[in-house]
Order: sequence, then C-alpha cells, then structure tokens
Amino acid sequence: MALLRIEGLTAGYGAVRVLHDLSLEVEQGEIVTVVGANGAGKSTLLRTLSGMTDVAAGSITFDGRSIVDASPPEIGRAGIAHVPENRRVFPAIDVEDNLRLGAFVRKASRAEVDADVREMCERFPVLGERARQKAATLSGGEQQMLAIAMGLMARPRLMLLDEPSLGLAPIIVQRVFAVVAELAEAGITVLLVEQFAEAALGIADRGVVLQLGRTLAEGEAAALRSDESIRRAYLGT
Amino acid sequence: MIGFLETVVIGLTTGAVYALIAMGYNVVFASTGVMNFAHGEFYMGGMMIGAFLAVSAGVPMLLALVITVALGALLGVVLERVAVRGLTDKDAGLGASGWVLSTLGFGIVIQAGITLWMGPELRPFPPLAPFDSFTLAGVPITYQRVVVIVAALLVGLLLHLYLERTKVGRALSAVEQDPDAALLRGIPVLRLGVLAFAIGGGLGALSGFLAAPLSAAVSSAGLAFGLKGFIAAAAGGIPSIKGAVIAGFLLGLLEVFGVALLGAGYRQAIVFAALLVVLMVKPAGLFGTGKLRPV
Amino acid sequence: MEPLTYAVRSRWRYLLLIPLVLLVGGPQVVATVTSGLSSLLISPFTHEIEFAANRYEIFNAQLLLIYIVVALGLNLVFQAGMISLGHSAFFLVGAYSVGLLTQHGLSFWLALVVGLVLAAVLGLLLGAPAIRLGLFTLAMVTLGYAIVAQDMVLEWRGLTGGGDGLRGIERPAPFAGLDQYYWLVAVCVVLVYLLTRNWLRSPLGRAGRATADNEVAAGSIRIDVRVVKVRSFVVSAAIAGLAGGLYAPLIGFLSPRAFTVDLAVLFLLMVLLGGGGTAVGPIIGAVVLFRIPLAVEDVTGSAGNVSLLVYGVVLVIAVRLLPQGFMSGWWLLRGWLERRFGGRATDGPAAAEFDGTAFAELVAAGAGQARGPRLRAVDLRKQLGGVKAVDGVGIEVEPGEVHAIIGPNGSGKTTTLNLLSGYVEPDGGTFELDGERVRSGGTVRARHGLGRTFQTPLLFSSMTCLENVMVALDGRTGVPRWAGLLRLPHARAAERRDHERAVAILAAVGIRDVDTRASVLPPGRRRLLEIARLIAFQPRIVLMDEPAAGLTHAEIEHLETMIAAFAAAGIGVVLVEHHVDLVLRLATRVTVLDFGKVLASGTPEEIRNDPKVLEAYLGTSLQANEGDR
Repeated sequence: MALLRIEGLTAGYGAVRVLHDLSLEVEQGEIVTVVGANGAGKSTLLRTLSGMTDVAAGSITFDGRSIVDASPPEIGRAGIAHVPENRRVFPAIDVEDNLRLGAFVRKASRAEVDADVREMCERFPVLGERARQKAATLSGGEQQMLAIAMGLMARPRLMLLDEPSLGLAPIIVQRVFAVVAELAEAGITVLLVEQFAEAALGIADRGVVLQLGRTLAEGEAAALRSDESIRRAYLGT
Repeated sequence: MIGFLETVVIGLTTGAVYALIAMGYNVVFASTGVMNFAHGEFYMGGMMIGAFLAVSAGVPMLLALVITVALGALLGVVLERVAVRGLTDKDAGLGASGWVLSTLGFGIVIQAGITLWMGPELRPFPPLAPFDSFTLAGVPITYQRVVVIVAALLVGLLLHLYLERTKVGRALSAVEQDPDAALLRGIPVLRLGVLAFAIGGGLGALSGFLAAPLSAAVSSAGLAFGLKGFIAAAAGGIPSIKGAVIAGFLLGLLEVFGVALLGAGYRQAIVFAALLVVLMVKPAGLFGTGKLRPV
Repeated sequence: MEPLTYAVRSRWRYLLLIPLVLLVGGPQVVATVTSGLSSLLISPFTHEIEFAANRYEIFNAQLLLIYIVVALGLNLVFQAGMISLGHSAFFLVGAYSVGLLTQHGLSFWLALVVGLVLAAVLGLLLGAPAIRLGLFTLAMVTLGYAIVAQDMVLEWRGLTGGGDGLRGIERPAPFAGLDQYYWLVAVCVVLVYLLTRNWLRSPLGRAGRATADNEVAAGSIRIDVRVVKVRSFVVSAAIAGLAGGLYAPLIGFLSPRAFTVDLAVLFLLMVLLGGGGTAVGPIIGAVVLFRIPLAVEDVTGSAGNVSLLVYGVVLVIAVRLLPQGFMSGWWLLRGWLERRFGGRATDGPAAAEFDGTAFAELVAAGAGQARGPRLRAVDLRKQLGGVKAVDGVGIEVEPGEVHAIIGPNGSGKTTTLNLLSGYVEPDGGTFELDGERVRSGGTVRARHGLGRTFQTPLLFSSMTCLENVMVALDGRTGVPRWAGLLRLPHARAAERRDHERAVAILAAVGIRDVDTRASVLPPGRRRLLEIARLIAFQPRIVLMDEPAAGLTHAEIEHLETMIAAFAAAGIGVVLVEHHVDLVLRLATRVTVLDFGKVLASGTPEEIRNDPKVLEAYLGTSLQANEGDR
C-alpha cells in the first residue's frame, strides 16, 4: 500500500483553485519528483499536504489515515516533515536551536534531541562548525542544509522538499541533491518539488509533470527526463 | 531637595516597573501581532488583587504573589479567548482588527469591575521586603526598591533564557520571526498565542504586585502605567526583551530627572517627547527588528 | 456594496432624511428622541420608555452633536489608514482659543476661525510623524498628544487659568440661549457631515482609502502617500478645532479635566465602532457610545463605574458580533432586504466578455499621439542579503516594443523589475527615460508615466472594482481635487465622465459587476482589474510581473491581446514571464537572466534555439556526473 495517496485533489487559497483533480501516489522508500513551470501548483501541493490550504475536494491518505482535514501540527506529528521553499530557517536563532525546533513535533526527551543534534552536526559538518551562530549568517546553501536537517530532526517518514535548489549556485545544488538522494537510502520517503527538472529527475525513482494544477505526465524518472512533455511544460510547443 | 543619587535610585525603580510592563506587551505582540490594550489594567489588577489578598485576606505575601500572578495568567487566557480569537483577520484591513476595540473594552471592564469591587480609594500595600532601608553612599534606599529593580532584571533575564533555551520558548521566538514557516514545521502557532497571553497577563500582574508598595494600590493606575510601559516597549523596539528592559530603565530615569528639572507638570510631556525623538530617528525602536507584521 | 463616488446615487440615501427632519425639528425634538433612545436601550431592565426634553437633555443632545463633529473629522484620518488617539488635543485647542479670545473681547466668530486655524496648524506639525510611524506607534504617539495637551493647560496657568479653568464664556448674541445655540450646532453638524461625505466620495477620499488599503499600489498610480496622510490629519484637526470652539460656549466654562484620555479614546471608539467606509458610521457610533453611559446611569442612579462596566461589556460583545462596526450590520441588513424585495439581477458571476477592440481603442485614446519614452537601464546591481540578486543587468526598450525578461526562478527577474520601477534603490547602474536620468523612490517614476502590475495583483481590496479604476483616473484629470468637496458643477461633471470611463474600461476588460468588492474577485479577474486600473492610469510605458500567473487559457489569450494593444499604441512593455509560449509569441525582444546576469538577449527565435537557455531552465549545467542513478 502506498505511503501517501492523493486522489482527486482540488485545493487552493480561499476562492482561488490552484490544484485541479490531482492524483498521486508515493510508495514507501521512493523519491518522487514533481516538476513544472512556475504557477503549476508545485508549492501549493506541498502546502496542502502540510495542511496550510483549503481543500475543496479529494482525499489525502497517509499511512492509511486520512489527513485531509488535519492541522499542520497534527500532520507534523503524523510523520510528515516539510522543508519550505526559500529554506525559511529562523534567522535570529542559533543553528543548534533551529535544529532543536525541527524536533518540536516529537515527544522526545532533551537528551534524545541533543543526541540527534550532535548527529546532524556530524552528518553536515558545516552545521557543526556554525552550531552557535545565528542562522541568518549562513549562506544559502548552508541554510538549505540546515532546513533539510531540521526536517530530519523530526524523524519523519515522509519528507516534503520545496524547491531546494532555489537561488543556489549549481555546484551547491549538486551537493543538496546528493543529500536528498541519501535520504531515501536512510529509509525516508521523499516528495521533491523542483523547477530544475533535469537534475531533480536524475535522483528520483518516479516523476510527475504538473501544469496549471493538473498532471501533464508521469512515469519512471529516467524515461520522463527525455519526455517531450517536459519541454512543453517549460518552453511551450 | 533630593540629591542626585537618590533621584537615580527612584528613577531606576520606576524604570524597573516600566520594564516589567513593557516585557508583557512584547511577549504578546511578538507571538500574535496583537497590541494588548488591556495590559495596563492587568498591572492594576495585580496591585489590587494583591492588596486584597495580602491586606484584607491576610494571606502571606509570597503566597499572595503567586496567586496574583496565576490569576493574571488565567485572565490573559480569558482575554485571548474572548477578545482576540477570531478577531485578528489581517486580510480585511484595519476595520477588521476588531481586537483593538475588544481589548480596549476588556480593559474597561477590568477597570470598572475592580473599582466597583474594591472602591476607588488608595490602598496601602505592604512591601515584600521589610520596611527598613540601608544607606549607600549617603543615600537611603529601601529594600523594596532593591527588590523591584532586581526583579525587573531577573525577570528580563529569565524571560530571555526562556525564549532561548526552552523548547516552548524557542517556539515562541520562532513564531515571532516567521509564523508561516513555524506552522509548516508543525509548531502550534495558535496554542502558543494563548500561552503568550498567559505569560503577558502574569507579567502584568507581577509588575503591579511589585510596584504597589512603592506608591499604594489604586484602581485608576492602569492607564498611566500601561501607557508608559508601552512607550518603553515601543522605544526599546518590539519585541526585544533587552530593548524593553533598557528602555524601561532609561525611561524611568528620564522621567524622574525631567520632573526634577522642569516640574511635575511636564512629566508626561518629557516621556512622550523622548519617545517621539527615538522613533523619528529609529522608527522601529532602539533594538527593534523593523520587520514586524501589521505595525 | 456601493462605491463611494458622488456620481452614484443610492436609493437608500433617503433614509438620511430621517435624522435631518429630526434636526430641523429643533432642540426639543432631538432631546426627546435621544433620551428616548437611551431609555429604549435599557428598557429590558426598566420596562418603561421615557422621553425627556428638559434642559439637561437638550444640553446633552448638543454635546452629542459636537462630539459627532469630531468623530466625522476623525473618520477622514481613519479612512486614510491611521489611528489617532490625539484628537482631543485639537478639540482642546479650539475650545481654549474661543474661551480665551472671547474673554479678551474678540468676537466669537473670529475666535472660532482662529481656533480652527490653530488646530489645523497643530495638525500639520503633529501629523507629520504619521509618515514614518507604523500604525500602533502612531496611535501611541497621538495619545501622547492628548495627554500632553491636557498637561500643558494645567501647567501654563497664567494663560489658561490652569486647574481652575476659564469661566464665563458667553454664547454669541443671536444664539445666547441654550435653545438658540442648538441651531448653530445643528448647522455645523450638517455642514461637516456634508463636507466629510463629499470628501469620502471625491478623489480625496478615494486616495485616502487607497493609501489605507495598499500603499505600494497607491504609489504605483501616482498617489503621494505622505501628502494624503498629512492632508487628512490637518483637515480632521481643523474640524476637531471647530467642534472645540463650539463646545466652549455650550458649557460656558472650560476645565482641563474635561479633556481626558478617555475623551480621546471615546472619539476613536465612535469611529471604529460605527464602522468606517461611510460618513454615517461615526454618527451611529457616537450616538450609541454617548447614550449608553447615560442610560445606565439613569438606571443605577449614578455610580459611574457601573455604566463604565456596561460600556466595556457592550464594546466587547458588539465587536464580536460585528467586527467591522455597526455599519457592517447595516450592509448585511440592506443586502438581505435588497435580495428579498429589490430583486437585483447582478448576483452571481456575470458573463464577462472581453472586448479586444474596445480595449485597444481605450488604450490608444489614452496614449494619444505621442509615443512612449525609450527606456534604457545600464549595469543595474542589487545585493540582497549577501546574494547578488542582480549583477550588471542592462536593458533597452523602445516605445511600442514588447520586451520579455525570462529565466529560472531565483534568477533576479522580479528584483530587476523592482529596480526598473524604482521601488528598490540599486547598488549601482543607471536608469534613463528618453535619455533623461530618472531617480528611484516614491512616486517619481510613476509620475513619468511608468505603470506597473505585480506578481500578485495588488488591488485595493476594500474598494469596489469601479473605485479601483476611478482612483487611477483621479490622478490624471485637470480638475483640482478640492473642487469635489463643494460638489461644484464642473467637478460633478468630471466625476460623471470619469465614472462612465471607468465603467467602459471595466466592460472592455470583461468586468460588468463593477460594484463588487475587489477582495472577492477570483484570480483571473483580479488580474483583469489590475490591468483596467493600469489603462486608467494612462501609462507611457508598462512593466508587468508575471501577468499570466494563475490565468486560464482563455484569459491568457485576452492578456496577449491586451499587451499587443499597448504595443500598438506606442507604449513599451517590459514583461517578466514564465509562460514561455506567451513570451515567444508576443515579444519583440527577449532577455534571459540567470543568477542575476544576462545570459542571452535577442529575438524570440534566437532565444528559443539557444542551447544555453534550455540548459539554464532544466538545470542541465548542474549535471556534472551524468552517470548518477
């Protein structure tokens, strides 16, 4: 059974519908990449999964339970972690404390959280180096690592990543994608939303192409990379 | 003629009270974007309830303090539910910021209610510390003054540590910086808002309880102190705790020295003029982040 | 809801005849009604309704009318997006001016004018900070004005009599008796009401509401937000001063104790509780807030605190029920009545037909014969938080050209557009229109005819579609804005013409339900409204930020027609877009940005075939190790 199952989802903000009758499944342990031009609804999809939008129709099931009416804290507790677009780490707070905040949804003792923080700092050395600095002092790429690490701190089953490459230099993006690829190896299911289709599909198992809130194409990532529909979605006919 | 040092002590004490009140505004506004117009009345409530418990009901001082603060926190939660929840729709423009009116109304209710219950007269209030004073560099200082100054500094420090070192405190801080990102990460913004009001209410009550022995408890004190506490908060830069403390003390000193130089009639004028000057130079306040929400 | 222009006559306006008739009835009538109102409010507790027309009630009625004057003036400030808790200071200045000057032998009328002018000058001085301060800090600072004014009166006893106050202020000859004085007050109320009502319905009022709603959007159509704010402050201060001048002889003596913070707060509450949006709201708020304490006192005998308690409880309950003030309750009622009995056919989405021909004609008519300016930006740079968002971007746009800026997310497109619009100060580079350097900031470039649409349509959400367009039209007519206040014939004619123009523009764009509030429009229509406003603004060059975002296929076709119309009329268009189809069809030149720099620039054909461009979008350059997975 799929870990995440979305069926006939129509959602948006208030009267504005962004997603139209969208269906998608993500199996445990997969990396699924959703690509599409801006305005296609990629971010809205992730925000809807995290409970931040108005759902007009459709269902969302996570691990067998419906989460379509759940509040963001409930969804976090259910095991879904969201790494927001533009990273959005908390700028005036230390890196270490940002990490601790990532674990907010967990019922864990202080010692456990501290242990996880140490682990993150080992895994992402740059975070370890800057552990006591305010998050605002980190570069874009470093903040992205921090945001991903914050997501990991919640020990999620599913991680939602919203355009992690945004505004980053190519070489940094490579590193970020490498980290994302490792996540699946650690058993975490990943739903990755990206505009840089080529690179993102390179690390995914399956891909979905969105256009104006609807699915334009989907399939095996490798096959999708050379699919004509991608070209169309971005550069038109 | 009061000497310089004695004026300094009085100024610091007054400033300490302002600092405490200012912190109460900051905590609430930072987490919820609401400027609690009833906060001054929480201060007054702390005075009066404390006076009732400690004097009329003969409850031991420390216990009275605890009860008063707890009641303040409780009242803060009630305030949130009654006068704030559902009235903070930011999209509909100023007109829908109904909480301005309802917190004002709530404050009026508190003030009128307490005056009806306890009467408008001044009430004596025993100090926490014994009446005695000691002398420092030729200046008599009562222990109560020391208690108040130390309390303000201590509360500021504790609040600062709370916001930085505890799980919940950090979350409150995060909500202030980016409520949307906080919510996305599963931080319960709404519940934290309620907590913020509880803390704010408790702080307000605490400041009243501590300040009462200095001047006597009276039910009309809410407005003046609420206002000056807000001035300290605004000048210090909302939501900075550090700013609230520093600005509070500075404000107290400024007021006392200003009155000594220009006369009691200029007390408020000095304070507001100082605020205006600070804001013209730094519209976000001394330590303000300048990137707050509707303000 | 109904737009506020004085070209629209609502059939409900006849309701206003009721209070007018009451006023004309004289002091006894008004006193009777207002006292009856109080007792009506508390009749559930007293089981009786009393009417009284004694001196006390006549006096109260006049005091209420004077407070209404202040509230009406304060409403103008509120409508411009500010909260002032300091208008009791201007009230005080007016009162003491009359009190002091009449005691020194000056005629009442002259003293009244002096008071009004002094209050206005003070309003100018004290209103200036409004430009820089946020909403609540301004509220706090103005509260300071109220408090300090009272303190200064107490302090300067030589001048004002200090705490003892001034006594023996006489009413001017024809109005010496209390009953006669009523007529003076009543006339003033009516005049001030008409003034504020005309203000709100005129370009002045619309500019204020636009400022309150969205300062950036207001700036983009040439509204100088600073002027709007200070202007409303000064006028409302003058009105409060007038009210104060009327107050002094009513009571006959002045004491600083009358000008408390409570009074300052009361004035604001009257405006907020009544509900902004119209001139009538504050009147309702005033009546309710004035009468409740009196009503309660009638019941309890005295005890100010009980009435205060009730007052507070009423406030909290009233806000919970009607967060937008009493007027919103009226709008709801009226809406219900109209649906029930009026049978208006405009509910539901009207079939919107975009009329390309009409649109093109309107654009061409607005542009006139002259072609727009040539835009030239060289080496623009902007660093945002450690990142070089824009790193040496140059662009040239000829009149009538459609120049598209494309590039992946994060490549600096919006920042570039903001630099071109002048909303952001560049770190380096130059910007020229027709060879002349134009600086950034404020409304400078808007005044040069630079029009702008935004990534998310920036509408004045609290205003109707019609008003959104009329605000833009307001800025370009030759009629001085003040003429609207007196409803002079040529101003009214101009307003009617603008009203028709606005309707025509909206119709061309496909919006027929012009009276719907902008906030309820679906996204495609929001964009259309923004563009309608743009045409009304009569731009000479247009900058658009992702105009196609969120639009349906059909709507995008309309958009293309619109952009083509601009180009045909000689108006240059700079277009940031993701919809590459649209861009390739429409643009004469395309500039591609990547990481803040210009990657390529040329015709659409050249760009589409440039391999670097596709790479940039798809991130092919990121694939260092092709063998992954």
